[in-house]
Amino acid sequence: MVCDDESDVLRAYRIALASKYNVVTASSGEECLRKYEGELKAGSKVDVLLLDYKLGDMLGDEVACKIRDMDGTKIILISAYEIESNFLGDLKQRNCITAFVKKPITMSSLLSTIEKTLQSE
Amino acid sequence: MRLTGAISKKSAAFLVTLAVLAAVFSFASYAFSSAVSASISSQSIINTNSNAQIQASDLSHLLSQTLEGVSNNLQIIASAHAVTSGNVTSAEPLFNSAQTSTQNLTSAYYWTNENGTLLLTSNGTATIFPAGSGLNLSERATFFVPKSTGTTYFSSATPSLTNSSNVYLFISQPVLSEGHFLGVVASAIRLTALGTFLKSQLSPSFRSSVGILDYNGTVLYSGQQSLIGQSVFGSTFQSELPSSLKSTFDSFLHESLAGQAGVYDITVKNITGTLAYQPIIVTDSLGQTHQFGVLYITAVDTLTGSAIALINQQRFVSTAIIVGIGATLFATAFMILRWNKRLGDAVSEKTRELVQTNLQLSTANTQLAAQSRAQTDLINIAAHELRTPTQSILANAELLRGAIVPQSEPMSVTQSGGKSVVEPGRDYISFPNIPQEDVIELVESTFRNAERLERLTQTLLEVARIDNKTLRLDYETFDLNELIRELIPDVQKGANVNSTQHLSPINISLDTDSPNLYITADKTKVGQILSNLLSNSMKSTSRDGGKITVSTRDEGDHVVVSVKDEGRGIDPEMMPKLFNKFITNSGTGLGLFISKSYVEALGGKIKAENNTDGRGATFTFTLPIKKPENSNDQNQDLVDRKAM
Repeated sequence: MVCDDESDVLRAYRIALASKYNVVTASSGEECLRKYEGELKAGSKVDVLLLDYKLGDMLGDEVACKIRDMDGTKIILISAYEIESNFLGDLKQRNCITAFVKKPITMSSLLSTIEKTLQSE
Repeated sequence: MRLTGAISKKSAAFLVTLAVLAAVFSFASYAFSSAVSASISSQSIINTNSNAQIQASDLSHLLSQTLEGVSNNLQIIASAHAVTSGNVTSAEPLFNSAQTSTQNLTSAYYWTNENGTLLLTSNGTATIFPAGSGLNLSERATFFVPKSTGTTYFSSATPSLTNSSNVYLFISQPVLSEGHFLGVVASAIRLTALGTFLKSQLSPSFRSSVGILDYNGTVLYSGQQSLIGQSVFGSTFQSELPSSLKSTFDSFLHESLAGQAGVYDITVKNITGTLAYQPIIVTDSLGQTHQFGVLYITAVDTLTGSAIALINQQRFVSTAIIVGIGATLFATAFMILRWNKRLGDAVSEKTRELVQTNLQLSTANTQLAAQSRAQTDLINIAAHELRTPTQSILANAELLRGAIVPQSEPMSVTQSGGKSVVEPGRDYISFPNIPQEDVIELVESTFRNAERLERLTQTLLEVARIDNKTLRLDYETFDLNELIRELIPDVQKGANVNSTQHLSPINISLDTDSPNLYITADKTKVGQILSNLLSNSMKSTSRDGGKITVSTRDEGDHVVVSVKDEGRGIDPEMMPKLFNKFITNSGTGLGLFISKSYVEALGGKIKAENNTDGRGATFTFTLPIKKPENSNDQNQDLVDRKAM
């Protein structure tokens, strides 16, 4: 699943990932939570969530921690903002996120990050 | 002038102490002068007393000798053969020669027989007795006292038989022959002559007068002629005596008539004087001594008077000098303390200014720190805003390349002639199966994001111009309503392509009184203000089918434009800083800041408020219909400042 409030960015993520994965997109924090829960109920577990930090309605860390509270999946937080490493460390500590990548990122790097995340314990 | 206003309380206390000290010193000087004056006065009185006593003693002895001189003459005459034999003719020369020898004092010598009949009067003064001989003087003390005592008799003051105003002192000597009383020889001393004689003996430098009392208290001589012959115990004398002197005078009389010598200080009408007295002792023919009377001297204490006057002068002058010095000191101290206070005040003022400056510097520092933080925020937000379209362009390009470039081309970066040569390398991934419509979207998206980057660059430059006050306004007259009508579809389209949130277009309508509303302003900037406010409202209005109303109203000299939405509304916490830079939940947070800056630069005002029905917010701004008169000047000013 990918979540970003920028439609152009979301489209690019979708196209890049579509070659290898089944992709579900969400353009807001609220939509992300709703669709994640929907997938969960439908029995098709989301393997990894690529989550933008600054969503129109919510911030990525809040979404991530709410998903952790549902059942938890691997979440890659991605942001164009400079985010303090202490804050990221804390999020990882609390099992809200698995990895963090900084925009701009090439699709090949993104794919390899997803690959690594999926393979990690 | 209030003392405490000009100087401090401490200083005022010091001045009071100074004044008290000056007063104490003045008083001390005054008291010391008074003591010296008293001491000098006392010394002077002692001196006067001493002089008076010496004079009294001298004169008393002189008088005794003089009287005894006369008495001796009488004794010689009384024992002369011519007298004892009763031979008047041969005795006459004796009388005349005795008179000659004491003529300064005596008026005459005379002789009476054993019956008191006047036998002979010497030449000299014939006024003692009536003319001719045969006068009987047996009833007079000068006759019967020596007759009975057999020795020299000194009379009291006795009026003349011929002229009662002439008062005499008689000395008489009995003529005895072998125990038989044969008569009396006597001498008359005119008291005025005695006084003149005594006065001539007084020291001329010693201001004094002399007087004589006889043993009865009768005044034999006094400077005051009328008192001569008066008894000091008589009513005439007593009535003329000042009451304050009575007790002193009584003591004087009592002591002096008892044969004692002494001195008294007397003060009459502030004049200090001395009364010195000495008994006059005479020796009779039998060798016995008798107190003839009392000689007294009164002296005015002139030295005391003049010395005290001088000392009083000195006392007043020295007190005045000390008071003057005290006053000068006081004034000097006051001036110094006042200057001191002024100096203190000036220092306090400077200190206050320094504190103020420090505070201002501290505030400026805080502001600088806030600006620095804002700068960091700007960089962070700008980075985010730049990275978002960059991310799209980068991803789009990578995907498009993956769709069209064969997978076999490796990607690498090599250095050639100092330049970097980028070639496809290991990161290269092929995306061969991207559908045609996605390919088109990727290309369009790349254009859009490139434009977005350019817009962002313009925005950042505009903020810099606002901050540097180098904003330029290009005035033109245009139809505001037409501008709004043109903007609406662009904003709707922009929102729909930029965001994934609005699936169906938001309804934006224009509500106005007249189709055309002409104003003179910077059209581009007004368009930018409207775009910013509409975009904001679009972002806020998240639900499908949301409604935004733009309304314009002609208010005569200005127009009122409002943008009303039905969105989330404005967080009350955000309200006070809504138009500040970087206050945002999404985007750069610069749109409202720029809008406010533009509105104000164009001479209008802007505000935001939540709708009263609880749904959404309304942004309202005003613009002058005509170009403000000082607008050009402002711009010129900005240009000038920039040039400097």
